[in-house]
Amino acid sequence: MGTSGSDFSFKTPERRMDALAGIKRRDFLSFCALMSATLGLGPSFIPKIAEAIEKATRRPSVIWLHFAECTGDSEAFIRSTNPSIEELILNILSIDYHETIMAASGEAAEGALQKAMKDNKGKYIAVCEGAIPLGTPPGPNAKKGDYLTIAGKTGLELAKEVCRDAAAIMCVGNCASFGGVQAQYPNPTGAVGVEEATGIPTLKVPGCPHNVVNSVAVVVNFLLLGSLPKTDKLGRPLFAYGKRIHDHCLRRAHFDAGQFVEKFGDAGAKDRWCLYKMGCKGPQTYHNCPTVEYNDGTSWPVKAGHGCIGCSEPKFWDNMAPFYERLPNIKLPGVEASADQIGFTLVGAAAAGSAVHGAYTFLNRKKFDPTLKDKEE
Amino acid sequence: MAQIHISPQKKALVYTRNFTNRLIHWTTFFSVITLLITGYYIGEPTAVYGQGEAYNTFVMADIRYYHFIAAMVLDVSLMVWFYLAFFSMSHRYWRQMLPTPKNIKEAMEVKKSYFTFKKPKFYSHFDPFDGLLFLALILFMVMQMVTGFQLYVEGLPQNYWWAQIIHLATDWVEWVFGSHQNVRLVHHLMEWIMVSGIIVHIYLQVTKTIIWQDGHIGQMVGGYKYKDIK
Ligand code: HEM
Ligand code: SF4
Repeated sequence: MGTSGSDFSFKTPERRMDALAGIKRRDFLSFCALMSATLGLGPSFIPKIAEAIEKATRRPSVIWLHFAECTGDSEAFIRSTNPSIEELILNILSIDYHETIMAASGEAAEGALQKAMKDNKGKYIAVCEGAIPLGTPPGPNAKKGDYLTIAGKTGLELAKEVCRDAAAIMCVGNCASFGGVQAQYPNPTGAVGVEEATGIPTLKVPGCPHNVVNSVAVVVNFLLLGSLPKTDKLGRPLFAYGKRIHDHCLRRAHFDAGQFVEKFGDAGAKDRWCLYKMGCKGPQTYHNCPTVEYNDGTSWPVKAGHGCIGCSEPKFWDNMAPFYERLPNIKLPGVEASADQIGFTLVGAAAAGSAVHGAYTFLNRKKFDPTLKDKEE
Repeated sequence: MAQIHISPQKKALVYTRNFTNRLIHWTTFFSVITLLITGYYIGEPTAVYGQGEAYNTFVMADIRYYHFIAAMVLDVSLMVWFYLAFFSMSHRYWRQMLPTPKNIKEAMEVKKSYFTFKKPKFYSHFDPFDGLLFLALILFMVMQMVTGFQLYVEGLPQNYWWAQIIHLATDWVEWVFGSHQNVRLVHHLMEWIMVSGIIVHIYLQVTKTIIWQDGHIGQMVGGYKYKDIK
């Protein structure tokens, strides 16, 4: 094996070339196979992908921006257990600016950003992580977007500056794509996704965190075909977000059989039955977790026994809550109730109304029943 | 509306509901009952669970299948209903169902009759009070149809022509309600709203049949109803 991740210095491209040379051919091809499977391309594309990566005269330059987020997507990106994949990722990309993993700091870091933008104008890939706060903090000199300031610029200014000259913009994680947790009610900082903030269309790879296989597959697609993959109406690549979790879930057979976990830890849970009644949002969530899985194919929530919470969907903290109920509650002024509570009340009211009127009709039966009248007379 | 027979109680039998009309009513009835029962199970699987191995047990799959079959039947019968409301050769009923001031005024009179027990004037198909109730029920069914299709299309391959037609026809629903989850919530809540509406509907028809002695329910079976003769 070549070098380990920590040995990379982002200033010496030669070292990266060495590292690619140090990777076993076998590992490299299995990476290409994973990419072609993820992109839905089939085995005949494996050599083509290998060729595209090897022949790429220039590795695409990547500028990775952090906005309001937890760095979970960077963690996902660099923290893969299989060293060959980690190294490959860093070797097919030239990551010129990444606040978390770059060695430089301060002015040198700023210089690196400016240089990368200038050298690769119109050719680099901007990867955005995190939402952009648009609100104005309280205080005398505060201006719009001041909740997030990096090197004297607000997140919005930075995003606009970098995204304007990018060949492609990829939002990784739910925050950059749709705003994520900080954009949820009551959204104190006015956070929104990158596309909404800048008005520039972006490709979105949401998830909490996103799956690194998908973001790398987007790049491989870019290398192979020179274009971004086809997306759905929200801007998510169809190869990864074209199907619901529910449609290829490993517990689906138990859903169709009508076998449900009723309580965590019950016999059904031990038999890996379906988590529908535990509030699984798989039927409403488009993502390829069941096939790609997380952490180098180790596991993913439903496999581990917890329902899906819909982390690749817009505003999932608001929309998919409560996570352990299938449906949201209904909020009326002053009350919050489940759909069933409201429903039972309605049905009860209709039945009670009918019963009361029925009793009233019975008591007044003489008014309309001529036979009764005749008898009395 | 030929008068066929005069009974000793001075009532004439009047032909009010033709065959198509009755057929649509009962198709809608049976499909809605099926949808209510299967929909309840889909929303809250209870009582019946798959026994045995999952590879040859299909409780939920079958129930969803019946839900979809009944849904298609309901959709077709609703479409025929709408067509006939405007273009029927014998009775174009749409005017009777609109909440116009005239209809509302007459509906209030009919409502009063349920408390005073003075028989309102004879209406051939349905009275204006029922007209407004039916308008609500029809709108509920249309709502179930559009939200149901929006749920249905989620599971179809995205670039399949049939899915694309459904997307074209119902994607606005998600926009109106804000998210997939809310579409589901509306579809679920509507089940209870429909049950309430159906309780009121059945109660009123039974009550009317008893207090006016005009064979009101019978008209939905045989097509005839009694009319008082002065
Ligand atoms: C009287 C009309 C209907 C009633 C009362 C009804 C009721 C329901 C209920 C209560 C659910 C469960 C919702 C949940 O809790 O998630 C459901 C699910 C569903 N309904 Fe309906 N429904 C009706 C008509 C339709 C129609 C016309 C369609 C059109 C295709 C439809 C398609 C669906 C679909 C696709 C689901 C989701 C099934 C799943 O996710 O497995 N429904 N229905
Ligand atoms: S566990 Fe969730 S995604 Fe899997 S079959 Fe059940 S409801 Fe669907």
